[in-house]
Amino acid sequence: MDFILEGLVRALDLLLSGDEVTFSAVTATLQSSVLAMIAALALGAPAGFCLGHFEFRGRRALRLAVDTALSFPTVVIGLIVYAFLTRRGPLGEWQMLFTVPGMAAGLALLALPIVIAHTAAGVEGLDRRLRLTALTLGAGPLRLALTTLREARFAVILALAMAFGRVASEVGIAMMVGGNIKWHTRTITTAIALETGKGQFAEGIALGIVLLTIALVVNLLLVLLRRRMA
Amino acid sequence: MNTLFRLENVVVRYAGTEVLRVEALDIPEHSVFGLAGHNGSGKSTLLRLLALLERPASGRLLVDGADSAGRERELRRRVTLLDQEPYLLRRSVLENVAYGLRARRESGDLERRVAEALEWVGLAPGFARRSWRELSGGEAQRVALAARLILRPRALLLDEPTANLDAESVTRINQAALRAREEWGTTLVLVSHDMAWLAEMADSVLHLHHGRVTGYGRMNILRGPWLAEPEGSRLDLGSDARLRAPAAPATDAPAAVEPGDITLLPPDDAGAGRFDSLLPAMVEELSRDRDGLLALCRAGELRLFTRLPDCERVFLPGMPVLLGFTRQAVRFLDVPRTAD
Repeated sequence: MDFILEGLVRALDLLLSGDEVTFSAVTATLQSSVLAMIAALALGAPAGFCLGHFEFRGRRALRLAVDTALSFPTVVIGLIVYAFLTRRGPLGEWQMLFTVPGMAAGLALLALPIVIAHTAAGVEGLDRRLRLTALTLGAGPLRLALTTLREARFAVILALAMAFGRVASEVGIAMMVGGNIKWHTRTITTAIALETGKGQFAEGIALGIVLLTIALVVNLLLVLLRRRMA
Repeated sequence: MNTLFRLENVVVRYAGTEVLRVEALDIPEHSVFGLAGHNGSGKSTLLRLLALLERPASGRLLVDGADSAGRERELRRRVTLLDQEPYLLRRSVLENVAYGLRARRESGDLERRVAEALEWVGLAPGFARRSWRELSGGEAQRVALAARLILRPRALLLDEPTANLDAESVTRINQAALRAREEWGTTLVLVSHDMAWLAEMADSVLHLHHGRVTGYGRMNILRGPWLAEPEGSRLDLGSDARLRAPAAPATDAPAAVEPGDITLLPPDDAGAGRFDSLLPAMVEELSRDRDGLLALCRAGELRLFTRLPDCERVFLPGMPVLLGFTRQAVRFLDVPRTAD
């Protein structure tokens, strides 16, 4: 029990003293997560809109594939991304392995099905009169799409919150694609795994508290955004 | 008067099932045109067709004399539809009313134009700041109408616009729609179950039944079950009241009676014996159309329009009366069944 209390005290000390190693891990986590979320939103929101809005051949199969991807093991995603980014892989010349953008690419693949599936569900759940209203008021296809996404904004925000939660707390992809390199690609989660492995529970708990705080702040921001948009 | 909408042999199908067939229909510019019929009669489908939100499976819809096919988006900038339960975007009233203007990239002087549109439907300019969730049913309907009126449409299509609304909202909506017609020459196409309201508002009324046109004007539509009798058929209305008709082609065949073919009589009229049917009824409302005064009378479950006789006798709402029919006044409609 003592080591847990000790960990809490140490956590406060690390945070208040501005420990450079801790803040390096926080920075790497935020950089990779934010980059991944931007990519997932840019690709996932339009894809989710199309999946939820249009009727086309193979839509159900695609929906099933996206839903299945929600439970894709992160280690497998890490493995696939690693295979693509390694020097012998098809994208090896981009030299993204063991870099923050490389980690972000893997994390984006993790977030993408979450954003697509929840956006599609939000769009599907919208009142069908929305389409007729927008059309009869003179909206063209692009405005109709943007209006639909805006009406489904709560579902999109929820998707972002869920995706961020998974991305920020992910270990497998960060470890395999990032390589857990101190000062560069060591994220909070990989640092926790490392410190715990070394028996440094206090550092592990301190980083865990930081991760929880980040998750809390991000969710609070999203709640505020949701209220503002209501 | 020019023709704004013309339908030529139009057929609409849903999943291969025919829901509407109109061989010919002209709706004149600047007119107030009513569509009447029961649920599933095809009137809302016809309205969505006129709003360029549906395409006919066959036939042509002409707008201003030109085929609408392929021009739907352009025409939707001139024709707009207000649903019975309009959808408001999850935004402020201002954003809702201004949506159509923004879609047309006309963002100049937005706040003044929104305030003006709200004033048309009897809402204060301060309403623009309210959220969509703060509106009552009547207010939401008026905001939705303001969102259409701000576009100054050439045709405004209203689907049951006053159903389940408070009296003030009904008055405001009627006034705003008629003002649009008066000031901008907007053509109004109205759908309603409320025959009295249609009689009050519309220049002419089209009756639909099971997706087919059954007649024009203030037609009374009767439904079965028709019971066979030696001279034809009859409809039992309870309390010994019977409406006698020619032989019915089917027990549930629809039949029409022109208001002018129903004679309104005082309950003590000595000449009542000349009619095949006499229904005790009560005058509910009086209204006026191009051809004169009409009385809407309730006889049991039936509500029937009758043309007021040109005599000195006064019939007022609430008065008991007799409705006299000859058997030949009831005309069975040749309407093949279509799915709703």
